[in-house]
Amino acid sequence: MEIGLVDLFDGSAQRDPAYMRAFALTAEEAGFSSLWLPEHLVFFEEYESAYPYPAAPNPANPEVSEVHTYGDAAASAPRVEAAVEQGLLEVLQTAAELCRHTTRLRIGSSVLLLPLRNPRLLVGELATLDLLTGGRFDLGVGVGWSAEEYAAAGVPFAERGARFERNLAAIPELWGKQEIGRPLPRVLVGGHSRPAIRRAARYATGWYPWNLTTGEFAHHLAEIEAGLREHGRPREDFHIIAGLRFHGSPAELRPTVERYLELGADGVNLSLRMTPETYPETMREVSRALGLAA
Amino acid sequence: MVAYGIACDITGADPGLLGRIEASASAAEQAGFASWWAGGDREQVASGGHDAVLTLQCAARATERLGLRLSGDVPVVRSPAVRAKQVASLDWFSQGRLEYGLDLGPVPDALRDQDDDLDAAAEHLAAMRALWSQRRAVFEGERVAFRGAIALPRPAKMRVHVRHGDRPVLDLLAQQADGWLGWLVPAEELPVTLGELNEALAEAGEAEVRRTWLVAAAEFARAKELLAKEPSLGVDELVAVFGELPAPERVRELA
Repeated sequence: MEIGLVDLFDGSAQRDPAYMRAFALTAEEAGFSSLWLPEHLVFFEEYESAYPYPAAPNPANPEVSEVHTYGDAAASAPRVEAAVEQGLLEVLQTAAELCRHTTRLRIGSSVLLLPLRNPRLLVGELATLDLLTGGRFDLGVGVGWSAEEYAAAGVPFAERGARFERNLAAIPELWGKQEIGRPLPRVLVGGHSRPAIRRAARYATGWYPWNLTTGEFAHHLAEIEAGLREHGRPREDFHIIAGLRFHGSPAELRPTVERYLELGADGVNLSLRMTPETYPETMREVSRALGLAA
Repeated sequence: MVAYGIACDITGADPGLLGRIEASASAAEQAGFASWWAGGDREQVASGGHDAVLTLQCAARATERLGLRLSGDVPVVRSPAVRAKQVASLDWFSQGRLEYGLDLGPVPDALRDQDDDLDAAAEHLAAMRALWSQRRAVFEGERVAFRGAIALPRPAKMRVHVRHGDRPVLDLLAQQADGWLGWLVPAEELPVTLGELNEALAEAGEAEVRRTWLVAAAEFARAKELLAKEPSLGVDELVAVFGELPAPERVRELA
């Protein structure tokens, strides 16, 4: 059972490199297969952009979606789940740090904002990271949702789709041209919009939807599989990870996870938002509930 | 007193690269070098070398006091918010030991992505500085804009160095930077080059910036002698530039 954890390394004094090392080793020892790192370049107190994933599957019944509000519950637009002084370390350096202290754990981006990158430089960074981590990095990529973040990055929000597609297509091409001599890391497209599904099936080596109910997951998975067939790409070479923010107890997890796997996911990523005080016990409880360490 | 440093471009694809970087950086610290520099974007394009930030992170992990330096970011080839995050994170991983070097020369064709004039470079730098220094960062430029941006972690202080260039580059350096980088400036051209810097500083009303002269490793001993003979040149730091990662014993020989 391939289970990953999505969590934040925020650059605070509390979550220092010693904490990162302990966190990664605990996850590895508990039998998790991977850690996944969200990306935001900046946060804002106020957004005009609406966060697109406020609804997560109900812990007791993943066929049903329920909305969680974070921060100001009276806010008109759904908000991203973030602290008042939220920080985040850069994804690729964080991956290098976590891999330095582990031997088996894979690290992924959940997801890297691909339209904001220069593809030539990103491929160089990926090649270095791939070597430093012994091939243990998976590149989750997405378009993002915050027009405010795009303005801060100096990239027109209206061009996000075109830039995403351009960069996604460029990555394997540039990797090949640079004669790196190792396989390109797995590239998983985040999201389930029609363009995301189309781009994943055409260009990527994986799909990484977020917060879909099991019914929605099955529906979009069928679209992905149709897209793969259309492009003559074998399903067995394509990796699918269902990601979700899980608000329930560890005991409720097993049926939910098993349902995604039965439907065709190769793995499930869980965002549990653990605290520095509770993460070892939470990891062990989840591991026991899912039988990961066995 | 002149400080000494090591700069290198790092190539190679052997699985032991991480350990080799850590060993060489550790040797540099133990041998008394003050700084460890990564090659810039221009060198990386030419050599196909490894990413500067990720290799500096390896050096940071293996050392405690060694200063870490980016020697030549071409600012307009990256989004300023992306680079500000990368630089701030590396500073965090190195516990505040990072300084940031810019290359404002012509943009290498292979890296061209957006605007590439000097105004764009200045705007990128100003945007990054706002993100690094303000609790709720505000910036309004032609290409980049934010209001109330929270960019954590923030460096306590990020010193910015600029490579020698033409007069507009030197004017920007004099107005906005903390240091001058003489990247592979030949010894016989050093007095004239520093004279150009002095003119730009005087015109901007700036008294001084830190002066770092980077020379090919083979020229390091001769450069050291020159600086001992000519302290009036005012060079603060001399850096030996290697075309590849120097082995620990080579680092120790140079000390």
